[in-house]
Amino acid sequence: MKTKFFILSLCTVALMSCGEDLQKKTESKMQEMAALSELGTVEYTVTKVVKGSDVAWYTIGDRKILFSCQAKLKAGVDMSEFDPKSVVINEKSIEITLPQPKLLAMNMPADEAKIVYEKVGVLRMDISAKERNELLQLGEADIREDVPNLGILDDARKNAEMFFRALLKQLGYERITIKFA
Amino acid sequence: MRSVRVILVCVTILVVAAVGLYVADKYAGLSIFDNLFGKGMQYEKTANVITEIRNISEFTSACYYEELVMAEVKDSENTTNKVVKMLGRGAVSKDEICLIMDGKVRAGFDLSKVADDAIAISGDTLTMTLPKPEIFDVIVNPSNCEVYVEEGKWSHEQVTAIQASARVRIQDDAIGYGILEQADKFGRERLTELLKTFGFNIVILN
Repeated sequence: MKTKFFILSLCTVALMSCGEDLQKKTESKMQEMAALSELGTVEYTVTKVVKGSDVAWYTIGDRKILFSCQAKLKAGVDMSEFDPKSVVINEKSIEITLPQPKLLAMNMPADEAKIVYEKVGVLRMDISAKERNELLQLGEADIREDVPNLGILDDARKNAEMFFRALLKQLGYERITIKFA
Repeated sequence: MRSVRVILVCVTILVVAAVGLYVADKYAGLSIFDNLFGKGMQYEKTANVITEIRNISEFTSACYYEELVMAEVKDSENTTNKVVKMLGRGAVSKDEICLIMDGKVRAGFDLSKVADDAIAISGDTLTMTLPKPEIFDVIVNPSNCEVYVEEGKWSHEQVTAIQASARVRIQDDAIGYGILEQADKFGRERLTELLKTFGFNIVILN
């Protein structure tokens, strides 16, 4: 009897401590701040239909889902990679070499992804939040992979050149040469 | 006659087992069929369509990172709970979800707001009036979100509502952590360094 009571108490304590852990987890967070030096020069809005299916000849019923989602991509130059030694000034002429443009930020809020179609067979399980998130992750990776083909980096380069040309003109330079590393 | 009875018993057992499996599958969330035979959701590649292109001049000088854990519990939407609620009692089972999100907030100066007359040059001194720093992006992408615990049924709308509130919280935390002040400080330092490389000995940023 004493042993049973002891085991029961132990289980209760274990369960209570599990609850406390979970409560603690919901409160915990890590915060950090970093200095950046990025000049974003172009923003692309990209829309995408994310498509997922779970169909096999031996299953009774399909699982299919379509999301419509939107991502905002920002590209420009990372000025932390800018070498001050690359600046050549000669009276009213200046030559600068900027770093190659790159993707600086991608914002694809999961909470803005809309389900446009969903079909789950009677004998199939519902599409879980984890599965939905995994599909959106693949959609995000797909957009990221496509960045070199979107033309965003070319636009970022053109706009960065325009920006620095206008700035240096305002600073009094008459002959401006802008190169990319 | 005896063999017919055996067949009938076998068929009955099979039907009862099938119904039992179906009920377990759909209402108890055991997902037996999918766990045994499902191959999981397969991603199918689709086109990326550019819908808008905007020229910007955002100088991002500070980035705030936060890892946030958000858990939510709700009454299960099953038949038992519905019946119990109809009888005026509290729910007997609960659904739980726990998301781990890595958020990012980017802030700095929108240099497109620098007016033409905001720059003044006198000898080797450059004076520039900067706009106020602002938050450009609050980023919590799907790849920054992990569904750590998922018990019961959670609709897309219910999950996205949690993610939306996480984004608001991360932005508020970033402001509380001083992102705008840091963006102002870091930004002025970086811009001063940059403008000095363009041939000015003294750079004054107002």
